[in-house]
Amino acid sequence: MRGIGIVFRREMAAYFTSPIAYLIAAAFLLVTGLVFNTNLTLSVTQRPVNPVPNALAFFLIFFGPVLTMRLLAEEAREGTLELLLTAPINERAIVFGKFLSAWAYFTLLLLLTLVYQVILVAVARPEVGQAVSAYIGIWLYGGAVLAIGLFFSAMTDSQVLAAFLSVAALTLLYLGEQAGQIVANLDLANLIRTLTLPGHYTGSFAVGLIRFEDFVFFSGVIVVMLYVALRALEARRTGGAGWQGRGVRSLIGSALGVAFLLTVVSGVYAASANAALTLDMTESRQYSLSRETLTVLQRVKEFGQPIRITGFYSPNALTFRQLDDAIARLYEEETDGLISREYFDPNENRTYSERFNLQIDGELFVSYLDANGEVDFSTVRRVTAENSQERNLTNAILRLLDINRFEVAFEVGSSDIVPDDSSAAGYSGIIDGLEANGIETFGINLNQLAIDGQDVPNTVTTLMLLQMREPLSAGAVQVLDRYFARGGRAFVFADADYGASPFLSESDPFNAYLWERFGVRMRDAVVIDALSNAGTELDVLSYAVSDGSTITARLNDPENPFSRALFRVARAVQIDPEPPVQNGMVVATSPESYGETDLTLLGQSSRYAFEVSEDIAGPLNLAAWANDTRTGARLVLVGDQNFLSNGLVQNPEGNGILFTDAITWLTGFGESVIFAPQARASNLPTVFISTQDLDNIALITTLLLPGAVLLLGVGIRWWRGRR
Amino acid sequence: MIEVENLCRRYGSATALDGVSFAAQSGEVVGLLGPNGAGKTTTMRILTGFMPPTSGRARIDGHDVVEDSLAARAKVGYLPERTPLYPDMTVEGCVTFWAELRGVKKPRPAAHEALRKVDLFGRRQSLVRSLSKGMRQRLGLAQALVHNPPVVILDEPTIGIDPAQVIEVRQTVKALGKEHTVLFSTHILTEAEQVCDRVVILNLGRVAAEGTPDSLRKTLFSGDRVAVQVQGLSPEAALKALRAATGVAQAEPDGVGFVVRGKTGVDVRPHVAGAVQRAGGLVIELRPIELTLEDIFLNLVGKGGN
Ligand SMILES: Nc1ncnc2c1ncn2[C@@H]1O[C@H](COP(=O)(O)OP(=O)(O)OP(=O)(O)O)[C@@H](O)[C@H]1O
Ligand SMILES: [Mg+2]
Repeated sequence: MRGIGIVFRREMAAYFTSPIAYLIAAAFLLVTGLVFNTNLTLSVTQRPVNPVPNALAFFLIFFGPVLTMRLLAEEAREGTLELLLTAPINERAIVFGKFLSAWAYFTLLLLLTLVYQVILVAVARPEVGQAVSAYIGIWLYGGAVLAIGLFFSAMTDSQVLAAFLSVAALTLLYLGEQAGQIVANLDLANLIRTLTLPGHYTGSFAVGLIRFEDFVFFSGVIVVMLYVALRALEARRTGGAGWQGRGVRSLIGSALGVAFLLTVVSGVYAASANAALTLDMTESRQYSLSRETLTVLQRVKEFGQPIRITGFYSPNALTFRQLDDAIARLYEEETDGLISREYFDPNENRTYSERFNLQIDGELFVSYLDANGEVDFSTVRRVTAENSQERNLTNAILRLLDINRFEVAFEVGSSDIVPDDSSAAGYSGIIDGLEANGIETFGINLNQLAIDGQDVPNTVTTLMLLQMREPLSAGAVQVLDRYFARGGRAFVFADADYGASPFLSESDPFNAYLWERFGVRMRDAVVIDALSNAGTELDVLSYAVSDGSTITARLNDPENPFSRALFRVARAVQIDPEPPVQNGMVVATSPESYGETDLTLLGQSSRYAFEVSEDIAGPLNLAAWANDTRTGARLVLVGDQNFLSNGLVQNPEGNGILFTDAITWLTGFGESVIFAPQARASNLPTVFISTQDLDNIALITTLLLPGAVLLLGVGIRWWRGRR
Repeated sequence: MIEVENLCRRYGSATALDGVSFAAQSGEVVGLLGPNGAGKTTTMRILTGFMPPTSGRARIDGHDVVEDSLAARAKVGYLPERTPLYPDMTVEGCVTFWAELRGVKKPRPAAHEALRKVDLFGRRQSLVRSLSKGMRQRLGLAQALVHNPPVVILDEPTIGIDPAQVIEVRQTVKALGKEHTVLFSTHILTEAEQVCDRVVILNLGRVAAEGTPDSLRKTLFSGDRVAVQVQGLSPEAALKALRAATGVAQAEPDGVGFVVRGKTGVDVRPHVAGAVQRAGGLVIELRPIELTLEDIFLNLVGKGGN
């Protein structure tokens, strides 16, 4: 359109020659520089998250109107509008030219802030994709802000009034995102949020997710605001014509035009929101379905049973809902609706949420749907609430698919401690952990099964022999033998026990059975390690772990001192070098260790001493595995059980890792899906920089840069004023 | 070139224009005369396409200012009443901008030429804010002429400038009449008489009179007027003698003398001289009074006011 370019160029020249514009630019750089530096200082311990564009989402409330207030109001006040409106160009050219100039000027300011990104790349590991997404977002956001400002500038002759009205409108549009805090109705709060500017930035562009619908929204705001600005400008021609003839006709025309535009824009918006075209800009592909998830979803499709994702979000948690839904809707799409999603306000659906045992706002659950299309509550699985929702959602779906596939039975018959005791000495922690992963647990009594002439139920995938105080009966061993013969798997824990006939003593027939069947057995010796221990020589830390076993892949990570397993008063495990089945070591002690065989002395007075003739020289095995590939039977034998108690299972982490990975190997759970270990990047400190450098950066960005711009403005003012 | 038909314009309930019609031919300088609030600016704003009329039509070079606004606007150079300019631009930049906006092929040379015309070429690098009022007025004129439009509309171009410059501006406007159709408004009647080929007198939103300054004189006022001073007669006797003279339509005392109006087509001067002599007096002054627009104007406004 003729005239746009001319108007645009004049406005740009006005920005570049006006001292005010330089003042604005300096203020802009000062504010963004302060934000950047504050964030950089924090980033020594936290990952920086696009500080500058995110802060601009707020600061644009003020910078936008300052850039736009003069655009039309000043022309009207000065009378130059009369010349513009009588020049042979369209009003559209005036409005577009002015808008584009403001946007271009803002773009320049934004480009200046890329200095910060350059600094970040130099000193840290920023998420570049996410930053690009945030910049694109704030650029569009700025466009919408400027269009709104231009509209108010078209409405009045007074720049101050135009700025005031714009700030007021933008503040409302900004705070609207928090509507959930005053509006109790979830749908209404969500609608309000959808109409705000940050509602299309904070939950998408800012976190590295580019959604087409946000493009549509911002473009829509720009189009509608420019249209009303245009009509406001045209109304200046009819100005004063009042409520008759042309005035009324043009008012009705504007109203119809706005209504039409709004219909079109919301239609396109709804369609694009439905189509859910997104572009994932995050490094870790946080908003795309990973290969692992696609494998799981393939299983869902093959199984064919409808699954429901149920989320509970109060109006306060709408941003989380948007973030979670960005992922959840991909599941729905990928499975052609077999996985569906439904969200509730927990405050308004209290009884319903209680049936899920909802614990925090913003929690997700997955479950099967019954024949009536209702949630089957017996199948509800909780989705762990964390940042990386895809992983957790897929895990939950996997647990749903694996319902009843994995059952862990605890032999507890002869124990004096109930397994789900939640005290430090109890084992409720691992039981909860198993159940959280969809593994069913229940108690079993092998001696009783033998008496009743029954077998271990077929559904049991792993049997845990934990907290055993007495040897198994001969019948129970037979029950176990039949269990192994059909490929049963067992996780067996022995421990130092000073009683008359402890479980798996060298004289226990079951110990002999294990030696015969798997080539592993327990020794009547307690491990003493002078080199690898946690304080006392009886608190043995895993010194060596087996190579290439999935059970120990994550143990003894040289970068993580807590990844070693800690055993407290453990017995040694013996491994047959010529075994009947495959077997091997899991964890071993240091060469400086030995096995104390004088248990009486140790048990009564906690004293021990190495005697060459009696004691066993180290290194010793603390745990072993065996795999009968013929039958499928698997065994893990550990010389300690305290390491699984609530007090120790996460302390150090290595204990939990050993248990989880052993059970994963035993049950075969890990073979259905394995997530590659993911670095939790968001929690890592990512800035590597000295205090001296921090000071220099602060000096450059908050003093030199804005100062230089200010000086440039003063210089230009002086140079032009000379003539 | 300019055709105005029955133009009406209302602001709310107030009527600013009430059926104004006039025309200006190519190469004519037409003056729009009228007291404050007569509707001059309103008429011009409609003609330049700034605002639409409430009813009636206006055409510039055949293009309707409402229906075919862009084409009509392209033909007009306009200097608004307030001479609006961008204070932070240079003189040259300002004129170049308007040249570009009005589609001039080579805007910068055109701007230079227009600046030479108004004698501002030497100040082309100055900021507009540093110009004096008169210079701004001339800059406004340059801006209106830069695209060499067939129609130039100037709203009170001589307001606020010193007498020497007023004369210059008047000469410029008059010179414009050779190539352009000029419509310009003013309160100053001598100015209109000096510059205009034709005058349209507006009052209270209506055309009160229209024509060349001469024809206005002729059609509106019959008979010449003569100023007479008499010696040797009492005022009463002199008045009596004057009224009795042949061809005299009216005689009134005026200061120390009398004003006598003759009947149409009659030169009353010989009769007046004879009648005074016959009564025994002596005519010491006998001077024909030139009718000015001032008279016409006051007369008209007076009439309208009643
Ligand atoms: N924007 C407006 N709103 C309301 N009334 C207006 C407006 N502009 C002009 N008027 C009124 O219209 C009438 C004609 O005004 P206009 O400006 O055309 O007069 P003018 O002949 O140019 O007077 P002046 O010699 O003072 O410039 C006046 O009564 C004025 O009050
Ligand atoms: Mg006026």
